[in-house]
Amino acid sequence: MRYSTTEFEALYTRCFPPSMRLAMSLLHEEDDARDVVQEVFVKLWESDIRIENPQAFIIRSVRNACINRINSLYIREKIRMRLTLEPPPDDYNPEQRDEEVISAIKLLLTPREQQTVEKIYTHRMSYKDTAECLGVSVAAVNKNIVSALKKLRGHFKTCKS
Amino acid sequence: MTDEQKDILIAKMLDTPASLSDEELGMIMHDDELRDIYEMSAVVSGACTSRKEINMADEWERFRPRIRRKPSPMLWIMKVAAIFLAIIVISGIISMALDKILIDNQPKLAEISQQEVIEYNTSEQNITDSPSQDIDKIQDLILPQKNVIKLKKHLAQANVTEVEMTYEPKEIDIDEYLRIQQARIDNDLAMITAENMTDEIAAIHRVYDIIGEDDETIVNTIRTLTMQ
Repeated sequence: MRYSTTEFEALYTRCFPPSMRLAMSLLHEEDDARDVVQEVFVKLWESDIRIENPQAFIIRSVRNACINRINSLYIREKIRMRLTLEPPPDDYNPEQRDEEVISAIKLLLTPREQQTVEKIYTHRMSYKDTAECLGVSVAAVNKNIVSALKKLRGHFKTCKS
Repeated sequence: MTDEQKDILIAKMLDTPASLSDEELGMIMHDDELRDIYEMSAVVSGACTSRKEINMADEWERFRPRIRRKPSPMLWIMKVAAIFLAIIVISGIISMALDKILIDNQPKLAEISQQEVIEYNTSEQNITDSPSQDIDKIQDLILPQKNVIKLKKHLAQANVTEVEMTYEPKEIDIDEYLRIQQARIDNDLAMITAENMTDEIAAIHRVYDIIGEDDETIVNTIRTLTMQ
């Protein structure tokens, strides 16, 4: 049985935000993430079937589509896009994971390290631009980033063990 | 690998990954610490980029054009059939309407033409009857037998023309109708002239009968008047 346009709009409005957050968390590029999510919804629309739990189906489909896309890339391309080299676990919850990372950044990093992380990862600035923006050297930016990543890595390793 | 070398490699990995050589990529993949730092970097990158606000109205408007349903082939065939049927029905209705208009107008035109011709013939009959009656009256009253014979000959010629101009009721065109009307007017004029002449001749006869002149004098007088 087909969805009407109104029903599908309601479904899209409900399921798009978590799907988009998951895709962004895995692909890091907004356009790529939107493309993957829309592709999943188009397939659902064209399948002409009603899913019992559409949100779970869509999230699962988006996750698989993102992993397939990442796997199709070369390592160099993955590193350029700062994509994870290992596939996420089956119980990967991007919202929970992101919350944990943001909390750890606020908790563990110094203000300068937080500023550096924000410039490089949120605003996608280069080391040079970040250094100019913060009024420090490029070496200092790298030092802050490496220090921040090591702290976070240590934190999450401890949490996992 | 020293810490300094690792820092340089991390800087290249995070800032300018395109500048990494294959050898450097291999070193990153085979060094656990570098690989862990890279994975951590990927997780932080994902956490920072996924926090962007989503405007659902914009997102739906952007997505909606992608979900237009493809029309089924059966629906397409039905549409084509419906168009053909509509064309046939409309052309049939137009054809019937045109036929009806033409059939309705045809008898009216024929009726009008016929009526005109009948009216014309009736009036012609009145005109052709009247000169004969007039001549008879003149004959009865005043005219000598010789002159009456001449007049009858003259009128007989006129009657032949009148007979030729009598039409059976039929459809006529406008040119023919105009010719008939013209002939009718000419005939009227001829009849009026004949009447006048008859009156004048009758008057002359009366005068000459009273004064006792012979027929030759009367004929000469009439000829003189006719010439005038």
